[in-house]
Amino acid sequence: MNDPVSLHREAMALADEAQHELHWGQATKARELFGRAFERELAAIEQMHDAPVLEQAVLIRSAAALGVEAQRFGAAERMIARGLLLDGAPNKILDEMRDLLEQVHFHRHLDLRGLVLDDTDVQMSIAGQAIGFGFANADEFVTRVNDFERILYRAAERRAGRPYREGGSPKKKLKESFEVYLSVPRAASFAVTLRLGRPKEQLEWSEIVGEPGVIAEALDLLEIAQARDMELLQKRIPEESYRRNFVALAKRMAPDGKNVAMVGFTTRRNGQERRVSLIHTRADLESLRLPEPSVAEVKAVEVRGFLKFADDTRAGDGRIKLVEASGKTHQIVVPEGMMTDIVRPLWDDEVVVRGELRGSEIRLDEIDSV
Amino acid sequence: MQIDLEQLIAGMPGLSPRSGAAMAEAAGVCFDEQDHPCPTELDLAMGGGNGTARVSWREPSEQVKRSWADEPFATEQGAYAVAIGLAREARGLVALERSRRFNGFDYWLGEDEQTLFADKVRLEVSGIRHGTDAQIKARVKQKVEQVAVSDGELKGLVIVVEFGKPRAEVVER
Repeated sequence: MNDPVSLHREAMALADEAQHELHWGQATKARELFGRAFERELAAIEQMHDAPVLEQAVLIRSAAALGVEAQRFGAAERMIARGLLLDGAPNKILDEMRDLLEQVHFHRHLDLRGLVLDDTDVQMSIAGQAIGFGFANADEFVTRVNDFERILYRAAERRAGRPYREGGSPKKKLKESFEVYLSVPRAASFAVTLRLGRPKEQLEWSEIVGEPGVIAEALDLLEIAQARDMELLQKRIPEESYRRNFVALAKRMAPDGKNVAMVGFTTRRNGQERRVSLIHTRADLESLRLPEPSVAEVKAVEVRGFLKFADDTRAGDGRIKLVEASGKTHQIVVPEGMMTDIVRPLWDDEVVVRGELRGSEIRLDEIDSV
Repeated sequence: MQIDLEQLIAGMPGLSPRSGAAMAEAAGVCFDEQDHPCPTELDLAMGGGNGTARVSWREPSEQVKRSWADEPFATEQGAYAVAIGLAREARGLVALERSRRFNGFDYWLGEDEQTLFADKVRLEVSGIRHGTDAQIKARVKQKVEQVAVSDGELKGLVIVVEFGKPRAEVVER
């Protein structure tokens, strides 16, 4: 059957299969099925010239979504352009087409465009309202670069079998190996190459730069966080302090959905290009949390104030104080894994702390600068 | 009103048996995770009135629970199961067509299969695993505002499902 309705239904059946494959982690198979669904949807659209505009608009939006999922970005972009020209299409469908166009553009930003990356290079791209063509809000960008560097240090230390380091800086030799250097930014919305420092001699860390490599591991973990798969994350990072630290950093690197809509990485290793997109926002990653020890009475609280008075002298959990504008203070317990990389960079800032009220203290869950 | 989520396994014209079964599984995981017995009473707010629906599902195995470990995704899919069941029982509407959106499907409800989407109601669903009344109201408001962007152009049925109590709010636009 080659009538448009049958072709559309075939497309949806293929997309259904693709969704199923995706659910079971078969991304390559899913992409192939989305591609076949895209072809069917295109064939349906070609026979719908005289159909009501709503029918055409929905089919075009559907085809464009399939094109993006099949990673056929050029074809999806042409489809969206065609849809946006439809006279009288519902605004909501047009808005959804524009959202898809952002996805297409973001994948263009992940393109290396002839740039040659070394094994220790990562292209990082960000896009969103706070990002112009070749310009980026410094805070949004620098914070994420710093957090990516922290993820690399922690991954390297963990792979080397080191216990979690709650205080101090990474070892000098580790810093030399994994310190991040920035290239000149490119207008893409905003993209730079991050280059990791190379060991100048045989360092104790050089063995952990090898395959699968710390960069690959960091990107694997960010993908797992985006998939919100806490079980897999627990397998990959069995140590609780490292896991808590990573979850907090991954949330902070994620788009906020307002200023930054997408964050992406492109690497090349052994001739193979890899792209990782962070699309889920911090709010979407809310379910990524570690089980905390249960106590009789717990109440979720959120307090705002200035971060003061740190006590990191005791083994295990640390303590800080938050001073509200009114002068009221709150004692905050900082679980192991959060103090150095998450709390310390916000020192003296006005912050919002979310956590659980346990007796007279708040056990920190999340902290963000205001 | 009875909503037997296992009936989704048979599918509908615009809902494949595989998708229906997957959604029903997800809903079972959400109800089970919130410690609800099966069947359970779902509080309903619909068209200015309140009521209840008795919802039943298949008890999820450990394997099923693990396969729905992504909580937001399971909550969304589970909410679709409840919403599609509710639309059929409360409004006599079935999923006749679907279209693709990024990372999921749109479901189009109706009674007549003559056209693809033109005379159909677009289903707008949102799921909350465990939320307060205020969170549900906020989510309904957000969804209704999204639908309102296209007021007069598309008919929409907004259904927000919360699995904690559990309850559902239905708004027609």
